[in-house]
Amino acid sequence: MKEIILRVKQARRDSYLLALALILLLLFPHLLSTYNVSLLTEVLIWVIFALSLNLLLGYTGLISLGHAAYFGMGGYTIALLTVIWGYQNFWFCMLFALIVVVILSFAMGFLVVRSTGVYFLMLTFALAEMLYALSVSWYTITNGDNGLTGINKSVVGLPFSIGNKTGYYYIILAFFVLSVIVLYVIIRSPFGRVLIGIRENEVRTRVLGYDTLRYKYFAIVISGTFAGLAGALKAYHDGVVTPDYFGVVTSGLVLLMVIMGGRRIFIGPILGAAVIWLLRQVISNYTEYWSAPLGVILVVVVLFARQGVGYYLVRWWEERRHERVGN
Amino acid sequence: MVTTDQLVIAALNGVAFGMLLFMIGAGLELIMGFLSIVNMAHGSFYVIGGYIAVAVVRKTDNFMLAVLAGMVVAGVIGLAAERFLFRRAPEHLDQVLLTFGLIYILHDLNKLIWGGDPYGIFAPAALAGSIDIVGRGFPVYRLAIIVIGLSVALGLWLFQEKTRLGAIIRAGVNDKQMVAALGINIKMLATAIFTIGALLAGFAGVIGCPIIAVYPGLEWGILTLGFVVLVVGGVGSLPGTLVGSLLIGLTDSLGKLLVPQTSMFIIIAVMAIVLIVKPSGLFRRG
Repeated sequence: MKEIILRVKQARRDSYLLALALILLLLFPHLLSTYNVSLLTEVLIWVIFALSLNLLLGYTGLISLGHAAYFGMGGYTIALLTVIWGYQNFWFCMLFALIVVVILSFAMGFLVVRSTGVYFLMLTFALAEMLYALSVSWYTITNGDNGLTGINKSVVGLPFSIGNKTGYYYIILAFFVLSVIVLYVIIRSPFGRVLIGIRENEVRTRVLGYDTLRYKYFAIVISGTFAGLAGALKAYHDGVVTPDYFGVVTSGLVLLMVIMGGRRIFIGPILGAAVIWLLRQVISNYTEYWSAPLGVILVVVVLFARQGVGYYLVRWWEERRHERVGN
Repeated sequence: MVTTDQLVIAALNGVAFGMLLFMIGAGLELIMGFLSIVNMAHGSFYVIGGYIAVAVVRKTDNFMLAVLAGMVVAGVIGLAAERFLFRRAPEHLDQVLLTFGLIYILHDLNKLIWGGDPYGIFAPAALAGSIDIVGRGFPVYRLAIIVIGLSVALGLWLFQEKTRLGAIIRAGVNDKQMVAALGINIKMLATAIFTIGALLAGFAGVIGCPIIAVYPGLEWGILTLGFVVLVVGGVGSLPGTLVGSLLIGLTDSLGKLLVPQTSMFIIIAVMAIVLIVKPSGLFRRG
């Protein structure tokens, strides 16, 4: 009986916290400057990206070093649609981009799903790098290194334009909340459980009768889709896409976010994305050498906080909560 | 239309590039085969070798010295990294992540020391100039790369097959615990392997410097090429790495000649075909 009361109290506490977070997120544009709203928008986009990677990394145990491939595909599809082919409707473009990314995920998934461990890592990395090279060299379509600009002329069909940072923030927020909910549900579902099983011991999971290849394939596709979503949203936010969308810097950054934030818990990537992105922006305001500090962070986290900072934070929080509620 | 002599020149270029790829891939393959970790920083060691080469050649004009210096510096950094960082990580994934962090750190270090501009050197005087092949001039240095690459391949093969250390390494690839049980210090061996891998990468960086200029960011491109070679050739097999690198080198070179805009595509296609037909590479472990 006491156990149940404890659980209910914890659940209520959790929902209060969530409600508070949501209210804050809704109010932020009115509390922060436009620059900070833009920053927060970027953080939300990176969170979606990081959560998508974690589905693969933290829950299925597949380390993808080329997740930017999907991110870039989403971004470039938007760019091509709006800049080259002149489609201005935001929703149409987003839908189209998502479909493209799903197709790409199926294609790339087919190539990589049979590999594991280091091979998977190398393959995903190499594939993303090749898309990067393609976007640089296919000058006629992608404008090479210069990238494609002018994306934010699009129309949303609501009483503001994409270029309006505050207005766009709310759209991103909607996508963010949607993505978080969907990903959370997926992870908690039986499907998610099987993924965890694959991570822990694939052979045993297979022995239990699950077609692990098919599960991994779907994990890749879902993961890639959300990454592409993030990329598409980022394209609209930035107004310009460059080959860096596909680049290893992007892949590495999102990987760092997941590792640093914590890959075994849902909130890990959220934390990691916020901290790493804000750190990067702050550091690059002072110096161009923002790589090394992030590298050092990665090294420190791997050596001393292996499960990610978020994991230990949550554990500490849980323990303190037990002390309080248990009395 | 493409003429025969163009094809021959492109093929030779491909072989030369393939040999450079081999030197890059061999170190990566060695580390991966024995230590089962992906040395993400492999490209960084290459780049460091290149930068050192530029510095040494500018000061002393001595290419041999540059080769030595590049190898030593890369090797020392590799040794230090393995000894003080990687050894502390319990799992393979952790070590991979550590090498990943190393890239970021080395990247900024390179940028700090050498700046952001690309640097190159000229081929050493003895190997400069060009030689007539099928009526066209072909750089002697590229022929030299082919010779050097083959020598390295031969050297590595002899090392692996004919020396005691090579035998230990081969045994370690198959069964590390048994090797340890035989009384061999696995930890020191791991450090040695990693250092050799770094040495090879630094060596490749110096040798490659006359044809590929070094700049911050090159490490990723080199790493990608190394990965592609390993995926195609298979891990754990030196002949595999050789075949893989030649295949990629030729694909790249001929691709640039026959279908200029899409040579990258063709490399992806080759990799994809190999992946579909033989997921663990053309030559599997053994």
